[in-house]
Amino acid sequence: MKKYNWVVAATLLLLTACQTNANRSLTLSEDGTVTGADGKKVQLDIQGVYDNLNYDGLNYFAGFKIDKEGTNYPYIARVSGDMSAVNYWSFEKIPNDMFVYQKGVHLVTTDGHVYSLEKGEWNLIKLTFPQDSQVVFSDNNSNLIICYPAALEKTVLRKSGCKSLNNQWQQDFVWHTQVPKMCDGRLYAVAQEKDSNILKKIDITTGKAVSSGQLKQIPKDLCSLK
Amino acid sequence: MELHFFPGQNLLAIKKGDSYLSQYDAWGGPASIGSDPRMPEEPTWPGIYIIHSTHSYITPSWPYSKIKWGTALQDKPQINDVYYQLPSKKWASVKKDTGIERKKIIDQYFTYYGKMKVPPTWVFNDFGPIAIRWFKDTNGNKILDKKETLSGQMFHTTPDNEAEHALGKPVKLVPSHGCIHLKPRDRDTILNIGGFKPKTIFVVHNYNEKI
Repeated sequence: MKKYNWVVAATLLLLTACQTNANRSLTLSEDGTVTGADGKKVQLDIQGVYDNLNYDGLNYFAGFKIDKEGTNYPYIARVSGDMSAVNYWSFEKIPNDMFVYQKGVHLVTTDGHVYSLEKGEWNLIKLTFPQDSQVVFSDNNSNLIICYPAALEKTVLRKSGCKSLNNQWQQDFVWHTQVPKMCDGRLYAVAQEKDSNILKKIDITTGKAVSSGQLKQIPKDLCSLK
Repeated sequence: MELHFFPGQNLLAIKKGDSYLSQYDAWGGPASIGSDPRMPEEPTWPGIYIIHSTHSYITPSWPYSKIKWGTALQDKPQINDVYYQLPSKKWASVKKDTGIERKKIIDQYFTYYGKMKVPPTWVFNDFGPIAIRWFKDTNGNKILDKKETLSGQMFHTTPDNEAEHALGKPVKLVPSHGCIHLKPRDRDTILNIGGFKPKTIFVVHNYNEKI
């Protein structure tokens, strides 16, 4: 729901962020320039932008400041809706995903720690998620659906799948890099079972899943699967 | 020279004549089938084998192992991607071909090497720089022929152990899915003394056997 759509190779449209008021169309180009709908431009100091969130008229970008030696420093940049202000916050761990929870902006780092943005500061909260979690659904209040991949490393074994915070369900299945996605009110996920890929359509209220047969090919957009 | 692996003792020994010359830490699979849903762990199957070859290994079964160890990388932060060099010398997208994102590469490299950067070469292949392959020689001619096939189990190092070795830290081996994990230094030593030479006899002992 807040993932990039690479409309053109070099251009990122940020129109489809969260369901909020005051959505504005911003475009981020390769050189880190954010362009507003009115043509106004702001140059961001971060590169490798991999996540964005639009909430309450503000636009958040996750990326890196990169020094001459190639060292990447994780940062969140926030651009105001009228592009008059840009704020930056640095992190020791990489913010893996930004999301709205209890009507506030949050993020989860790759090691599963959750931070809440309050009064201009990111505060670590008690909530923790599994490693490399992504929030695939938020009602902006207390209902989150989180998906967490299997370890990519062969020597690391950990649980993978998706779970709902609110409805207390959990689906264990193996996925690696194809992040499950909300499609028409259901969660679509490609589960790896032995040498096969199976499409799971998960009811996000009950957590019950209907599995399809084996997928011959995985499309770029999971929602194109029927 | 023969190689003898004692999985119950996590031990690889080099035998010459009737005596064992040297011993090395080596971790195989579990004694019984495991529960990894990605690919269940299996015992390193006891038997008498022949060493076949040493080469870098790639497989689509594991995301990090789709790219050969040591493959040149190009950081492309402007497009949030990392390119890798194909054998043709052309460049291809890691994200497109493996699904692995730039931030994951940075995060993994930090885990291994403590530096938040895209490394110049691919150091994430689960099988390390080289794998040492063996086969069951059913007709006793020490040549892979007829219906003989290379075993899916092999000697190799792991990326975390390679990083520990490169950084001069103690190398801590972990159990495998059936292959035999070696320390990088030991792999090099055994290679240098000819222990992995093709046609070398390699024996995997039972889990309850001791040297």
